[in-house]
Amino acid sequence: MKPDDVTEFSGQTLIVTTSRAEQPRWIPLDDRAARRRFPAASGGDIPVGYVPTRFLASAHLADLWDGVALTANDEWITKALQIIEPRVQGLAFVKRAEERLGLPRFGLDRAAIIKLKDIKRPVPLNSMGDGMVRILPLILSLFPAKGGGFYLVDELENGLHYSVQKDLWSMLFEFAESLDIQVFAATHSWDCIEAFAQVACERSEPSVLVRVGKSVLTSEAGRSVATLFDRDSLAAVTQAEVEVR
Amino acid sequence: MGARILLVEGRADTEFYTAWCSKSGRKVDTKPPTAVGATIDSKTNALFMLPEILKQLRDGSVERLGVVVDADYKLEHGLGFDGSFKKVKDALVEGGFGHPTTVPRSSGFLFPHPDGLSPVGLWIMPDNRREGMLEDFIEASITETHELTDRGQRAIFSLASKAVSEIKTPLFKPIHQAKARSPALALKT
Repeated sequence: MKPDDVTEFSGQTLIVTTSRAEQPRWIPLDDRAARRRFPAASGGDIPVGYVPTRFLASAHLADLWDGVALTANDEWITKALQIIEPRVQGLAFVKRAEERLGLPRFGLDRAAIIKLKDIKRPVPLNSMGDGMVRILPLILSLFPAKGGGFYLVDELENGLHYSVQKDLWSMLFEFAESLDIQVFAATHSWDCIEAFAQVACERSEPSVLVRVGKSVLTSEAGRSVATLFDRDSLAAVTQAEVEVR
Repeated sequence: MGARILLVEGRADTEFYTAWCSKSGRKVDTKPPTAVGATIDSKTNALFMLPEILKQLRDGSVERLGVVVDADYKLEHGLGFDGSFKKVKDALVEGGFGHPTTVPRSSGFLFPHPDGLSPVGLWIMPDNRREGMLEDFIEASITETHELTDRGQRAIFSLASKAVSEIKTPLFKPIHQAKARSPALALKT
């Protein structure tokens, strides 16, 4: 299937549109290799932020932070970290102590430190628990997608307690709206879906839940197909816990 | 394995059909419209939500689907049998199903799917022919069910029927007489 042939959501391919490109862009659901090439497949002219399930190197996060530090978007980072730890007042990336002391670096680069209310010395982010460590790449990876781009995140809920997921979704909705970003989040977590559904029903921005499954139609022979749940359906997803995983 | 859903009009219907299916050993998840996305329970909303459930058949999340609605009465602003049947049929045809196979109306309707999905079943109360509702079906079943041949229960139902017919200024419409009488059938003698 060529991109130019695709004009609608076909079930085999996720079609995405953006103000940055005249033609719809496409993410094939059945072709794992093509999915990995997605940023390149979209022609390289669309900004993309991507958060995989694997660990993101501190050096990469520091580079992302460099592009945001002391800009109008800086406050979003603090706001995101405050979802997990309300005492956070600021973030910076600094050389690690080993490097400053001339010790072996083991390939390490700058590390994130945060300022906490009522604590005089900066605190290493890594000492704050999984939630803080996970939410930082989630927020920093948003910025490369601003201005009509795509933000792709795999297993959004990884490392995050269910009780903070609604706040995270609220922030993503707000951020996506103000910076013109389309958010695509993959999950197998009911908590994550429920939090998304609650926020989607409360807000006015367009949002949809896409369940990807295997067709049982004879003619489709087990191919991947998508089932859409719009805002009205999402209310039922929350209330009745319709099986959407 | 996907869900086996019986779509009905409301909560009271849900309780009735759940008990009925359980008694006959059928594993069915009876759902009123509010359980599948509607804000309130009603026949209109059951019909409105039908396409939402149909789209979940494609990936097997819903494996089997049955629909039970009342025919109601045309003169009382209802759809009647023809209108009710057409509403469901139109939604199913739009969802890719064929017209129902020819079966005796006493067996309900089965809408086949040409591409491998399980057929969707439809029953329009009371008997897939006349106008009416669930309570009319229940009354019509009195002579067919073991429990209702019990003399004591028959006596109670006769008393209830007499009492309802003698109400001088009923606060319900004549079409709802069966609704007034039928709770007596649930009483244990």
